[in-house]
Amino acid sequence: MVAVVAVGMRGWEEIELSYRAHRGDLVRLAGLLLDEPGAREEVVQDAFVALHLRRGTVAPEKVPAYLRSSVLNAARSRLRHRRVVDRLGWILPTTPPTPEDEAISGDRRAGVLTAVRRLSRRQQEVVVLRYWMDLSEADIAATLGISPGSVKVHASRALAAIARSVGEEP
Amino acid sequence: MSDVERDLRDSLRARAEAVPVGRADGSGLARRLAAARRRRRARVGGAGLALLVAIAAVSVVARTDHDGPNVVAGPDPSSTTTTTTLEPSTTTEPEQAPTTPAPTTSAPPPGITVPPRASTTSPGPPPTARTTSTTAALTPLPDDAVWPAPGTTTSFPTPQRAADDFTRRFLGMGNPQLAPAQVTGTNATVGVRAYVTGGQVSVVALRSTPARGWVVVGCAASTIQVDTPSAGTRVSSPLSVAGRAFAFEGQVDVEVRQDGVAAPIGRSSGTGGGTELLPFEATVTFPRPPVARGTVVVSEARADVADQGPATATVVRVGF
Repeated sequence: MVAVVAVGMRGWEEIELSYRAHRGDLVRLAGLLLDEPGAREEVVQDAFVALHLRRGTVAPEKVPAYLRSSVLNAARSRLRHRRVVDRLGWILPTTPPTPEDEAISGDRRAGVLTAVRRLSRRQQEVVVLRYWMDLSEADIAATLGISPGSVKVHASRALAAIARSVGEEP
Repeated sequence: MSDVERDLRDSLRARAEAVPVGRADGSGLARRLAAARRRRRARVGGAGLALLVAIAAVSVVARTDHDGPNVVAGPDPSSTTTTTTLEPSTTTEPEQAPTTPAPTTSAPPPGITVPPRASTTSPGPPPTARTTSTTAALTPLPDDAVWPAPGTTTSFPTPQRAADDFTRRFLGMGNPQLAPAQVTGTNATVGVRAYVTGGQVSVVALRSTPARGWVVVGCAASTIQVDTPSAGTRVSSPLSVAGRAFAFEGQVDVEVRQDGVAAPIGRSSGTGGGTELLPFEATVTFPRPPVARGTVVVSEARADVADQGPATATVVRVGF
């Protein structure tokens, strides 16, 4: 904590308060996108560290989008770093099933998640932000740094792919 | 909402709820911050050394190509100098010793007078010394001059002094480390680092003017490339600033400044690459300035301290 005090206690206290307020959702977001349990908390902490290092340059209303974006970027970097480029490692490990997998009841839901796992990373991110975080297209666009039109396209294609996978019309 | 969407929502919610969150770990957060700072210091040190080597190579090429007249850099002879320190009339000068030795591999081009360089231990002007200035009758600065500040009577007899004042007072660097000026005719470049111990280099571009001595016309960091706006273009709000950047966590700060006002009139930030040069884009909104010219400053913040200016910066002169 000594190193932290040196950069300004007030700023750090604000970060810690924000960390306690937002970390739950962000850890879950990381948990949906990373299959490394130990990495979830780390990518979230890194997001807050980056926010602290950039204090004063991120407008307060943009902090949630900044944190989400940082977590997604860090998750992407982690996967790239580990050379896990196969999509099977993106959402939910395939085998063996974890207790988290077992918590999901029903073959249909498992099939949906399997279909999500086969999407491109960008489509998975859009799906998670839209259907789990309930973000608007504009917020998703701001988080991912893409246009709202691209969000629409990714969501539409993802939904179509999932529907095909579970044998339904989108 | 379709059945698939409902299933998708339910599945993701169930999956998210099953992710163990645990207790907040404040000490872990502090450890991550300390580790981030260590990584950054190590990274900027290596990149800075590489850029200095690149600057040396560019300098060799520029000097080899030079075939212009014998132009001597220095104060405008018509100006009324009131300083007590006289600068030697040279095209390269012994300057504040950089932490990394300056490139000395190139021979002076024909027509350029290069006096024997002082010992590398010769410190030249101390970093904290006020820039030598003249109080000549106010002659308008050229339109592309970023520094000295328009409206002031300050002029700089050497590119080194102009670069030092620019990095301290315009960029806000607390203790900039300057490499010796590389002069080619009426143009010069000075490499600047924000850190005493190393780090990335921003290259300050200068030009010698007859009436106002050396003026800064731009600044470029190899890790922050600004494609738009280009220098000399007219811009208005909202301004889209785009390019490629390699910065800590990929984050770059973007400011719009108007001449005569130190504080930015608009600011934003963008995300480039954290491990390589990647595209960034930021949109800055700002009130319509009452002056005709200003600058766009894209910079990478220092990780270790908050009030010592940026680690690197690229500065583009624009019109409004």
